[in-house]
Amino acid sequence: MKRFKKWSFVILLAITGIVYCGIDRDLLEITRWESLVPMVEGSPEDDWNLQQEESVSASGMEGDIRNGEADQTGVPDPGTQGEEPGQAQPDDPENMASQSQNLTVSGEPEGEEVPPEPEPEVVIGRVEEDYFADALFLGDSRTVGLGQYGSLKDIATFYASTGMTIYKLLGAEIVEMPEQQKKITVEEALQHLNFRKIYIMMGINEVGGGTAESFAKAYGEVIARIQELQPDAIIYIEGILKVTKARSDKGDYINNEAIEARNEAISQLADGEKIFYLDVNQAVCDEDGGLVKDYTSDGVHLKAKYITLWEEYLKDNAVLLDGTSGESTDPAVPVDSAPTDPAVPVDSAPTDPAVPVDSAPTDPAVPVESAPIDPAVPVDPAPIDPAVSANPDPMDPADSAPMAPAEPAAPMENGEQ
Amino acid sequence: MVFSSIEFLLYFLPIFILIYMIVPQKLKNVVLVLGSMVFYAYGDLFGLGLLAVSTAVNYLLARMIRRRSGLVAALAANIGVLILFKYYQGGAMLPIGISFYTFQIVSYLVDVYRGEVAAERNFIDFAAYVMMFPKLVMGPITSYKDLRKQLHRRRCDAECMQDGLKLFILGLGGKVLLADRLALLWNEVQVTGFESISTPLAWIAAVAYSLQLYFDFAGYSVMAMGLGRMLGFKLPENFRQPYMSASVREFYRRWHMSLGNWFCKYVYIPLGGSRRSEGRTFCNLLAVWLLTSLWHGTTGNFMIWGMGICLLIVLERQMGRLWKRMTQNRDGGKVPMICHLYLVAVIPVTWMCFAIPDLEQLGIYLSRMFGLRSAVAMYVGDWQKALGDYGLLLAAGIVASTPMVRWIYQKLEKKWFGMILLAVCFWFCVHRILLQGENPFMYLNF
Repeated sequence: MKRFKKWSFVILLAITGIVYCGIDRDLLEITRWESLVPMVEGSPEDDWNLQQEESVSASGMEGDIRNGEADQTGVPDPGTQGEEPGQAQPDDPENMASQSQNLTVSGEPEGEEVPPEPEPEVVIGRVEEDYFADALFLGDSRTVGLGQYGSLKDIATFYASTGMTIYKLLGAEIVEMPEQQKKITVEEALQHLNFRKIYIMMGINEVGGGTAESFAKAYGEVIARIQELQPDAIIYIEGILKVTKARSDKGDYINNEAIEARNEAISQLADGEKIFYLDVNQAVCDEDGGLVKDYTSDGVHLKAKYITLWEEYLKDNAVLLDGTSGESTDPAVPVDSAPTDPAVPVDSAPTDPAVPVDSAPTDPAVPVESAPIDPAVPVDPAPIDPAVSANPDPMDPADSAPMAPAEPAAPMENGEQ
Repeated sequence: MVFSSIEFLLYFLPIFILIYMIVPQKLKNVVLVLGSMVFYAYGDLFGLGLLAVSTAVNYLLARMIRRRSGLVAALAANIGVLILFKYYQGGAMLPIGISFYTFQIVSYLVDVYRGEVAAERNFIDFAAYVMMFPKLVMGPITSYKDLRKQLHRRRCDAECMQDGLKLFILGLGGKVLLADRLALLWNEVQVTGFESISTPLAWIAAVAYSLQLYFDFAGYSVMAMGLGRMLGFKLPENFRQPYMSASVREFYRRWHMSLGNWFCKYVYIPLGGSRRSEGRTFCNLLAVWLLTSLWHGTTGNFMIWGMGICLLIVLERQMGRLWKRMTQNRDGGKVPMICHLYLVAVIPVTWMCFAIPDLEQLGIYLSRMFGLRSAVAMYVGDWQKALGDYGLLLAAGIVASTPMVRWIYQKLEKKWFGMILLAVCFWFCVHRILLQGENPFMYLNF
């Protein structure tokens, strides 16, 4: 007893250590994984799945219960508002497969699918700030800087957070909604709001794990999902900003060769119609091939003063859509603005055959309708909810396939009202 | 190896302490030297060679030196090596802790020459003095004279060990929970660029940096003291709530005290201190602060910092004399509040000179602090956002800069409640370190 008392503090420390290891192990693993994504070696497919699983288990038991109920009844608990099927059934491999298939297919056969529509000619040109009023920026800390110090901060919408990766983008609870305390995920936000242009700048945090191919694959899957939710939006893939030569030469996983390889890989995702690749590095790099030294203090982030270079590049390299903006600057605009209704671009996404569950007969005009009014205002759930109109005939809950985009409409609505 | 790393906390320290406690008294110094070599080699194998050679050579030199010329040659060799690495290698290959152990060796050689202490006969004991890992990397700079008795014979039991461990955890908490997290604000401001921050943010960030620097270094020093006590040593206190001072003079008597004492004993006093004319005192102060600047670094900003401090000290000295003459000591030694305000306003400005090596950038920062230059691409609410993100942390830092923490620690250290708190604190620190990586910047997400 005396000996015990003599060593009381060491014993106490050991006991708390055991308690810490016991209780905190799970939490530790999750948080560790989340914060050390770039450090995780291995295939990003694993990362992807892991991420999906984590995001479910991270939200606690609720997620499991919800899953269970959804499977049984097809009408999930109204309390779990705005859950997406892609997330609710995370471990369904077909889900992923069909998404990526969707992406690869959508490029070519489009012309055959919609023969009567004349292909709108894509014109890249200069736009002004108002172009970004219905633009969304997705990204990591670099985009946070853009949203905080750029001139677009009050014009465009920014869903960006430090440490963001493409793997956790959709499930990240970073979007603040008016009159809601809890932040919602990017995926949920994309179900509620409409954007016409979506800019993505991501990849520096991912450089430490996976390969360029696996990264691009995950990137493509995210884009496919975004297109599904925002069929009208133009998606801009911004090339990952490079780092300074000095930073690149430091010898760790962050180097310009890796960034270039990944930019090359994600630039392949562009289809020239709805998805465009922007080589932002042109605007901020020097002949060394890296970020200009004076533009940054840590070699990775642009200083606030030089954010404008990035913005100017985006303004100079925007897709001019019929009547969207930049009308006077480019003579080519009238050509494509003439025949097409701005609300109905040649959007084959909802009628894509690659997605069998998606009820084909939808009128593409309906979901689009809400767009021109005010892109940033939440779509009124009841009458023109795109998800509802996309599936006028609710499916039999018994064979509700995992992909059915109509599914979440019900809980989402319930949750809101 | 860094104290606040997983390798040190969960592997090196427990294993070392276990071996150290088991071996008989006679072998403890051997274990200490070997353990310190492992500790050092983990970060810098080349530096270990230099450290070992330096230890062996100075052990012999101290026993041989009889004449003044011998001492001068020995000092020149030691300081020459320091200068060589510090100033001609661009700092890239700077062996860890060389500034600290060189100063200790110098103090040892001088003390032995002056006859204040006898040269150590036992090589292992001398090596233990130079190399002991608690103070090897960042001090405190301890004279051999203060440690001699303990090197030969010291009490080392469960009580010492646990008292030291508790103290270590206190320092670890300061470093991991305050310094490392406050550092993120300073990092944010750098990333944004100094030309784009608002004046309030410039001040908030300067305060955050001041606190970060303090908890980083003071936390480290407390950890060193704690580790020393675990092994049975009494290492000197290095910080005594410096931000509670009422003048810059007092501040530097309470900040990095072991370095201040070293300069006082081996530079200021031999030059005559303040016992001669005012002009001579000024020159002596100037010499001390020139050397202090050079010790911290060779870039121009350190010179600006050191000379700024020197100027303030000289002015304070004259003001103090004037004040004394005016009041004729009737103020009863009470320090007016305004002195404290002056200190907390002026110190963050001097720390900015310390922190920003690029003089042009330093100019931009200072001009933003005083609104002398308008900002570019500023985000108007930046300082509110910073306060929102770091307000609690800053408040915690300010509270922890007062004597309150010490006081509470002494009250609770022996109680069960306090011990549980410390144990939880330790594992929470481990948790934070695992999350952020040892260095908040190394794994900082973008």
